[in-house]
Amino acid sequence: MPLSFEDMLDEFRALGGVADNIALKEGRFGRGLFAADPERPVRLHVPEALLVETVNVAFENGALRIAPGVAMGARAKAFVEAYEQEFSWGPGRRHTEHLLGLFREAPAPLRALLAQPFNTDAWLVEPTPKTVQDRFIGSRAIRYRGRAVLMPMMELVNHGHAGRYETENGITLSGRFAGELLAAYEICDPLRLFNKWGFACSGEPMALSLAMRVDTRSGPIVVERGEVQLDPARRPFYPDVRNENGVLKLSYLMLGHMNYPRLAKGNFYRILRDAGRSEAEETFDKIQHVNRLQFYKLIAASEDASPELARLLRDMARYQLEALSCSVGVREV
Amino acid sequence: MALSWDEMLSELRALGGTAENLCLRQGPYGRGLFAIDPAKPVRLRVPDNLLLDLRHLGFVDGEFRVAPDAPVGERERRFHEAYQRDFSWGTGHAEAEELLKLIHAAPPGLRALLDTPFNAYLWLVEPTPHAVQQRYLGTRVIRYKDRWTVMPVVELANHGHTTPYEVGDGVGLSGVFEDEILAEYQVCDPWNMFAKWGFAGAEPVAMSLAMGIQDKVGEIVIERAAVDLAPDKVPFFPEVKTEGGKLVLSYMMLGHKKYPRLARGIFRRIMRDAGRPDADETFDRIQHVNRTQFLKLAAVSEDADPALGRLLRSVVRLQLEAMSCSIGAREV
Repeated sequence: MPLSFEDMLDEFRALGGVADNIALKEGRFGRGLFAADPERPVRLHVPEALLVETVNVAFENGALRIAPGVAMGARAKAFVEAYEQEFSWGPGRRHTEHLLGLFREAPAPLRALLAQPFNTDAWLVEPTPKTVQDRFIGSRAIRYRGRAVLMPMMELVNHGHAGRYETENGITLSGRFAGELLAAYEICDPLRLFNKWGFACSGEPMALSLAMRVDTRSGPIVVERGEVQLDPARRPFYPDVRNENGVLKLSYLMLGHMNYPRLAKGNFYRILRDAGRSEAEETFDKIQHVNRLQFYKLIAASEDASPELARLLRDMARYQLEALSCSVGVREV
Repeated sequence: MALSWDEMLSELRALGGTAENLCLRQGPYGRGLFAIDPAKPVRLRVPDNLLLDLRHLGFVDGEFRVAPDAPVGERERRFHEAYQRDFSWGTGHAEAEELLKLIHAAPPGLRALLDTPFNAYLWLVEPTPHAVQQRYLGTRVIRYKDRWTVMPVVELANHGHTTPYEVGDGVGLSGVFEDEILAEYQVCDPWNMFAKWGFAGAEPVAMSLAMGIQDKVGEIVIERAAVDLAPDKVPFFPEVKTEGGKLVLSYMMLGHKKYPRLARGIFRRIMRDAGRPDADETFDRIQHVNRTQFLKLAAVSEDADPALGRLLRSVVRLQLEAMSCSIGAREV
């Protein structure tokens, strides 16, 4: 018999979870979690015992199952499987399947562009049962203590910047939320959100460069798209920089930030100065220009896709371009 | 009875015009002018007696007419009316009408944005027969001897960068053209092309929207006047005035595909001459404001009729592409 949301919450609590003042509703991002009473604080906590490593997830006859040998209580296992069936994989797989189908039907030049330079490979696979499962799991997993895990209940929270996950003895989201509970899935830009989760998110404050190589008079620069580490000991949004046989390699390069519009150039100028490279201003402009042109090309190519996919891609490109534009002036770093 | 292309050209020649090696065909921009033999030169000239002042033109029952008191011979009058019926207004006004209707039916948010800051007011009028006529004629005239005149046949050339108009003893086009004969309507950016002619064209240059911006010293006012490429001036250097503490620029180039270091170079020079600090940051801000407005237009156009949405997004993209061509700076 299907679990109701209240039944599911009862069982979740019985297994050590905390779900205070939580309601499931439709919001602007689709189904999401809300404060039942916005005047009161919310607390949602998924204990470690309910976090399932993605490598331990299997599918049998279209149902999500936890692999037999996993050290997890029978009740917890039954809960996770029932939860997935009623609230996650069960209703959510169709969206993943549909999206993969849209990409599959996209015109060849658009698919080629998405593959290179946008690295949207995860969405360019043939929509088979296996790829739908992989994509679904890939878009629901979170890094917890170095492992990719599924987090029942918490994964119903949509992406945004109203709250932050805490990762002590499980995963927690708490605080007061005037509307929907939103939490940042990752510190990244609209393109990465799209590539990983398949949605276009407005209001992401930051844009990173595409992975690229740029040749300058003082030597080549390779820009990667590594993860952003906001370690308090580091300069904000300052990438790992290494010199490999005369090639200056940056683990990522922030090109714009809505809240810190002078920072992108500041970081880049500092990197080039420290590396003894010249022409920082022109090189930064060139990298910005190459990035912008690729997104304009994507917008143009998307006009020939199905209206649904075209709109999704154009929205994502526009959000990325909005954040990319937020490089105004420079500050000393 | 309808005039054939050859009959029309014969009459143009009989009235003093020149039309050599010229044909009308469908090309990538719709109907346009081509060389019959691309290896041979094309010559097209419309003489003064066929360059009619806009004030003498009108419409009766939806038909193009030269005013009874127009200072023009009877044969010229007949030529104009037949030409317009068979090659211009008669066959081409539906496009202007359609665009006016699409924009008229656009969502209010989009119309408001097209009004301010985009100043596309020419397309925001009610699509009445009179408005269609005005819009149609407005896209087909040329400034000649201090008058706005219609230029039969020459106006069939689509916009591009293969040749300028020859304006002096009449109006014409000439040269050897491997492909379509494309005349440069005006030195302007994709947005201006759309606002005036209603199409999306890939221009090399992007100008700023008209705007005001405050720096530490005072206000900077940017207008969107026509670009004057006089040989004695630094290319794309606007008229600069100081009015009561305001720095007023007649226009401001933000990017150019062929001269990517020029936009910032010119702005730095203007700011230095005016004793203003922070030229680079102000330039970045102006670029940012422009990009933000065009991205907003792209967003709002998603809710328009698909044909209008696609047209506007193309214009936006072309403008942003040209605007992006500001890389580094050169001394001006």
